[in-house]
Amino acid sequence: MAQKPIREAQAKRLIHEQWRGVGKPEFFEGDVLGKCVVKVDELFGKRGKLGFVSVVESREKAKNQIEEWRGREVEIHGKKGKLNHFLIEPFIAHEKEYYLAFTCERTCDVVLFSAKGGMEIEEQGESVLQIAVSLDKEPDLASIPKELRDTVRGLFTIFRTCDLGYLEINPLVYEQGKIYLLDAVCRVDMAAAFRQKNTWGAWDIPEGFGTEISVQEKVIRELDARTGSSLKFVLLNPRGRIWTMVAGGGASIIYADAIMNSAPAEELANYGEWSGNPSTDEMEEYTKNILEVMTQSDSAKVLIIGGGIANFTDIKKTFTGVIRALENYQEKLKDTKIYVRRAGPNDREGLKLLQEACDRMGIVCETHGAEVGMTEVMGKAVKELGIQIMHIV
Amino acid sequence: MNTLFTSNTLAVVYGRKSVSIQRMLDFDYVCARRPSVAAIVDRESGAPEKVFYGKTEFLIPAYRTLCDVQEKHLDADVLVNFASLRSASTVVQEAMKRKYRVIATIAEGIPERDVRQWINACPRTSILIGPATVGAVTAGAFRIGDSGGSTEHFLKSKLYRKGSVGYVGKSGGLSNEMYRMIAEHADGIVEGIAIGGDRYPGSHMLEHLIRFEKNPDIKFHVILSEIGGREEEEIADAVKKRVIAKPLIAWVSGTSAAYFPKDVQFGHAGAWAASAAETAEAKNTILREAGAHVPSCFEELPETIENIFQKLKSSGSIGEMTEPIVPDMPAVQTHTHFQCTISSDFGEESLYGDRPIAEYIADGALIPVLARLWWKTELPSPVLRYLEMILCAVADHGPAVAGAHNAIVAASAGKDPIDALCSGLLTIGPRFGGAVDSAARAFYDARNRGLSPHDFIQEMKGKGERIPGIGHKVKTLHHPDTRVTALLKFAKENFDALPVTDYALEVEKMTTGKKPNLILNVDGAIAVTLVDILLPHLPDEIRESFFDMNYLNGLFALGRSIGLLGHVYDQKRLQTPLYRHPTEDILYGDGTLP
Repeated sequence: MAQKPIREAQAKRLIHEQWRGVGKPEFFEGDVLGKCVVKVDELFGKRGKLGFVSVVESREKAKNQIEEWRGREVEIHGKKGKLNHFLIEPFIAHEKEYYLAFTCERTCDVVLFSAKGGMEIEEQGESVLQIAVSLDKEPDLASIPKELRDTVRGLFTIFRTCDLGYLEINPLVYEQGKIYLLDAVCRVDMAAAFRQKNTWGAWDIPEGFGTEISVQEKVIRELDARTGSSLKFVLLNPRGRIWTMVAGGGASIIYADAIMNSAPAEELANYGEWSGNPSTDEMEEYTKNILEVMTQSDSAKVLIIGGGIANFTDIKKTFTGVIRALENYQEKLKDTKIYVRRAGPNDREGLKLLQEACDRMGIVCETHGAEVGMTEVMGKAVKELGIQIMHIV
Repeated sequence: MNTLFTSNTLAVVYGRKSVSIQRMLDFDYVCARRPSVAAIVDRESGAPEKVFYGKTEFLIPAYRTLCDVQEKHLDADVLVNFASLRSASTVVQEAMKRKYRVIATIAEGIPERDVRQWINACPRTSILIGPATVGAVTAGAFRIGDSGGSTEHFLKSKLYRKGSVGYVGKSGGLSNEMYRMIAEHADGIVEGIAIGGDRYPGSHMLEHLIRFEKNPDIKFHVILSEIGGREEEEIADAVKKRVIAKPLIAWVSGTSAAYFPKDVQFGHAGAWAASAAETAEAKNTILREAGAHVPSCFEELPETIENIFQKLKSSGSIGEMTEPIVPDMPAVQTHTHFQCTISSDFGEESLYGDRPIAEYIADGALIPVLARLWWKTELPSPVLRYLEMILCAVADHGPAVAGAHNAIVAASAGKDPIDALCSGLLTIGPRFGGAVDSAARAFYDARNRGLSPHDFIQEMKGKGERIPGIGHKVKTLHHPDTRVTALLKFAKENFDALPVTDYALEVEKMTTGKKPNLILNVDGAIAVTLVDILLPHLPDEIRESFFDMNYLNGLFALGRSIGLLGHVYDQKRLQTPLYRHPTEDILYGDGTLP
């Protein structure tokens, strides 16, 4: 439920649709004719420097440019993905560019403004104006050029009323009495999606660049959306040999750290987290989907069912769901070793049930409660796979 | 106060979370303190919650609004907010207005702007915990909700008595793991707080660390943070400036984030780095450089804790711990299905209320028994006498009225006397005998709302309703109902103030001006006089629900049972044959001319 970025086109559409009052910037609808700007609209920055923004003489040429880009696989900050989203806008000849951004602090919103548009904020140094705006007050824009104030105020209102976590317009252009938003970076607060149904809440919010969603991830995401508990699953590398089902947002980070500390990153097949006392059925469904992806490769692997000492998640109830799922996949789990470390309400019964079920099915499994350290099973699992323990620390 | 809670802390729990409430009380029992949950807010039901203190069952009152709770439980200054993510914000805003000292919100997934608004509006005197957390615990004193987990686990984490560590972390789930680690590698916590995994938690780790500093029981701090946010810079600064002078052990998890092959949002909403300064590495480094004890990985945390603990112990600043004797938790707590508050056959002597039945028998008066069993009270003698008069007045009204008629028909059909009585009683309803309560409510409400008799009549007319308790088939102002005359006479002679009665008589003056038979009838007279005479003598809890309980219709049913049984016995003695209604008295068909 964190903040998530949306595409430039989506950010602009949001501003266009939600604008109330004066100062509305120019928006383009329909076919752009003549000289235009064509861009890749994927969720990564510095597109200009990477050569993914181009000025062309005609719509035809823009289309050709897009066809040239489409489907190309690129690697950005170590994340590989394909180019699939593009944006065409008329070219706006201009002289003056501004930088504008809104960010959230704990007890205020902040307006960042600079007359040096087109540059990254980090490169601007002292020239950036910072205006802190108390959450229950309107911004004081006296230090912003008069001709921009209505527009800045309008954008700021959208920033607040649409539950945005971040909004950056860079460059913001003022040319012959008109205002243009030449680029937009925007993050939405996913926790507010329920009350933004009429703005962006019902939109398809994109994944990070390079993320393709498997069927099972999709099913688990839908399951998560239906339950009051938390059920998360992100497939990292289906050929990885370390699979995890860790309980708790905090514990899942610590397990991920422990795995990355002792094994090559590509061995970690997934990130996952379950918490908030899910029902037996939900746990069964969750586990089944993970086992479905996991059992697609033949290599020997380990499954770590980890977690801390639960406050209120019932171990017996949740493990009963895990057992039911394992029963469905027992034939395919001959090369898998399961390591369990979990404690909490009814843990002794839960651990015993799981151990007995695995013994009965001939699945190699060891179960531990709070008597062993939280990530101790990790060491054993890595050893089991014959991975030489390396320390990245 | 140096700790969030003491062993006198009382809480209001918003939301009927039975298991969590019981966990709080189990903790209280083990800590040998009185139950810490003063009341529950349940928007759907005011029924009290059955709970256990050890193996003794008792009730916690429930209210529908926070406003009602605060009026009755001023000493409860902690609000444990189990409201859903959509309603949690409203609850927090109201709790802040009502100046609750600690407001802990459990729900996860609350929009960030909402929580930032809480922080902005939070009075200096209030502390917000959460959202997206399990809460906090002060060892040996008080726990929020499920903090510390099941009894078995909080016993092992030694949360029932103070150790020497102040713990604060982001993750609710991991707090329990950390309490155990601290109990095993040091001597346990004094206080532990999970601030929650959101990007903008209601309270910061630093605020709690500053309180820990002032608490002489706390000898060192442990914090467990995560990737995301930059609060660690402030903490590092506080360590450098010696604002935090006690040893600080810290670990920031999420060192693996950089090695993921794609963007992964961890399970906590706040666990993502918006800039290099928010990464786990950067934050561990800045804390380490400031002088905090930062291990090289989470797995080394126990050793770090143990080292600091041993060092403080050998220097004498931490002494030997004498373990308290902890009461055993009962293996089973089984809830009862029924509850009875009016009489008992449980002890040596059977009781009505707390008085032996034998004493009531010796007194030989019926109405005091009724007052005890219906309203759990004693009443002054003129009230008793008046109630008896009313029973006399309603006992019977001849064989032709609906209830008596039905009882007679049933008796003549050969039903036994109880069945025949029931047949009569079942007739009592809105049109027969049941107008007493509605009349009482109507006049009482109208007068309370300050309506003049004229406006009241107009209002009823506007709604197209008859005024209950007004009107009689045959009696008029000139031929008054002598039952009414007798009741009003006694009421006026024996009671000083009869405001509702006076009001009803004003109404009667106006209605009879229009039509002479629109008099205050016997139902109306009983209704308004009883509101004046009986209501002031009833205990608060009874009075509050007086109109919802339909007590006055109950009085009618009780009195009329005497007459109904009389008719039934009469018919049985007369051996009346089965009654069949004459066909000539029935209009067959739909009433159209052939």
